[in-house]
Amino acid sequence: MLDVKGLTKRYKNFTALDQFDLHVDRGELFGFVGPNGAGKTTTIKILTGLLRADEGTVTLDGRNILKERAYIRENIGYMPDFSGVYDNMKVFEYMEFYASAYRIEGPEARERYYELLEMVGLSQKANSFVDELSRGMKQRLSLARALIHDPRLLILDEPASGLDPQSRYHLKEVLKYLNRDGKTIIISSHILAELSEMCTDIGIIDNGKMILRGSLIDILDQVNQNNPLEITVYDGMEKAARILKEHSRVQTVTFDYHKIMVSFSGSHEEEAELLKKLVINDVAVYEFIRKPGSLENLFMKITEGKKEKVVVSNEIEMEPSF
Amino acid sequence: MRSRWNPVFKMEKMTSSRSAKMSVIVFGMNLILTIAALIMLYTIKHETDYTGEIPYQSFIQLYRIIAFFEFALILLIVPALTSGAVSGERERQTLDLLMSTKMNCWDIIVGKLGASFRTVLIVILSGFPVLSLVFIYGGISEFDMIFLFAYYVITALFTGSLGIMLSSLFKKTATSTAVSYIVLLLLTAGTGAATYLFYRISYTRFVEMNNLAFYPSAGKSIYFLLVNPAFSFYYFMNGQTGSGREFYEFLFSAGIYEKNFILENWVMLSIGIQFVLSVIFIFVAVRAIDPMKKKY
Repeated sequence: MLDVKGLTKRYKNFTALDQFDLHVDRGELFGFVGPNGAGKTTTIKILTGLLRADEGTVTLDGRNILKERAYIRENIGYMPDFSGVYDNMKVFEYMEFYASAYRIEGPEARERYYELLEMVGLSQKANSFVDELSRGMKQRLSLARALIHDPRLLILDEPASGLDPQSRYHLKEVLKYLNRDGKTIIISSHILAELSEMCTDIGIIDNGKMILRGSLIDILDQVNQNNPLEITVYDGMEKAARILKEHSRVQTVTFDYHKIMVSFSGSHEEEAELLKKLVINDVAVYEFIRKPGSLENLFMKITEGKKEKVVVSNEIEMEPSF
Repeated sequence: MRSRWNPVFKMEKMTSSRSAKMSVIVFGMNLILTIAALIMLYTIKHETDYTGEIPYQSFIQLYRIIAFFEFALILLIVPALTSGAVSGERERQTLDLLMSTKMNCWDIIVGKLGASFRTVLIVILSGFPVLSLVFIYGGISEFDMIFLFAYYVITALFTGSLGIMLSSLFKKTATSTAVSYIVLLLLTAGTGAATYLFYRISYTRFVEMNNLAFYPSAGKSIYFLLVNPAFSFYYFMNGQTGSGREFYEFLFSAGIYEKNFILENWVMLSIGIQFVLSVIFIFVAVRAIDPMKKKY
């Protein structure tokens, strides 16, 4: 759906984007992650037609949106990290204004914005003044505004920044609903735990380059591969120790009462084989888990690490180390 | 369905009608005009009580003073209304939101200018009942008043588009407002001072040369005043309420003795120049907010 190739943006002596590549498929909920100044907002501004790129191409369904700005406006909805509201304007008037800015008028506009206000849980506030809304409500209103023209691609820049947990939860639920409903969503955020809860794919940008991109499952899987297996044994510790020490995929084993921490480099299948072997040999396994890795850990490792070539899966291309 | 109205204009119309700013401007301006008119009427009555004659010329003077006063208020109000039009959107962080819609830069600038223009028109028109006091004894025709209104409109367009342009060029409203007033001061007092300076330089040369064949003159610097809306308004009002000779007396004092096409059609040319500059200012404003035209 969205294909970005060789995108470069320079600000005097600073290169914000350096041959940046990105591909987002239809129906993805893509998490766009990176430290401050990595180039996330620059990328988003170029994708939404608010900034000129120095080099590169951006195509949406095969059409070059750097040249066809009308196509961007029709097909992309943009929600920045601020709500951007006017004084002396009611919620429904705010929506009506943006509907008319997208040339949607009259009953069609009314029907559309009431439907959206209902979706973001603001229909009861339609007659309230926008500047009287809480920050969370303003963000939800901003999301409704970004959807007023029913765009195919929704781009959100740090939508949850500054929101309380309840507002974040509500926003996350709405985004999940939109994604289930068929909307392709790109969401940039620092709150990685939330991204890992809702995104189907993520990309990590650092110093203006995409350094990791793949499906969240594959990436977390790879992170987990480096984490130890945690085996809790109720009975048969000695047998378990013998089996583990003899296993070719086991590198180190540490014991802590009923718990065994195993550095295991095998695949999921090999993990299952190991468990089976323990059980067959009468080891009473109470718990057998791969200690979960977090996106935060991965992100920290990548963004502060050296640049080495890393492969997460066959489909994922990565440059730096972790 | 395509909107008949520019969305920005419609939105500004709605929000400004809810704000007290508009009412305060209209009330304040009319209060000042009314007080000025009442003082004038009182002076005329006082004079009549003494002499037993009604000084008709005083009513023309009343019209002149109120018209000048309203003109000065336009010069003061319009920058305040327009210099925050685009920079205010930037400060509210809504300009990017507007730019991401189907509206283009023209829609945004024209909508902003239209909304400010509408406010100014209301302010101008609201002052006309006070101006109409001149009709008590006549001396000024309805057409004169229509021409006066037209002149106000072109001045409002000129100063308004200047304000919008500066608002697009500067990120902060405080900066664009300050620069708007400075530029306006340069256009009015500045061009007048420049003309005077050229005359003084010429006069100094005349004294030094001691040559009777050389006349001190402001020369072509007089044409700077074509972009001076206040000077052209002075000429325009002399045509309406005076003999019309005052302008040529001024030129004579500046060492300009020969009439030419420009001097004879001064007001129309000045209006034309103000209009062309307004169009240029709007173009610059549109370009200044267009993200594809900006390098950074």
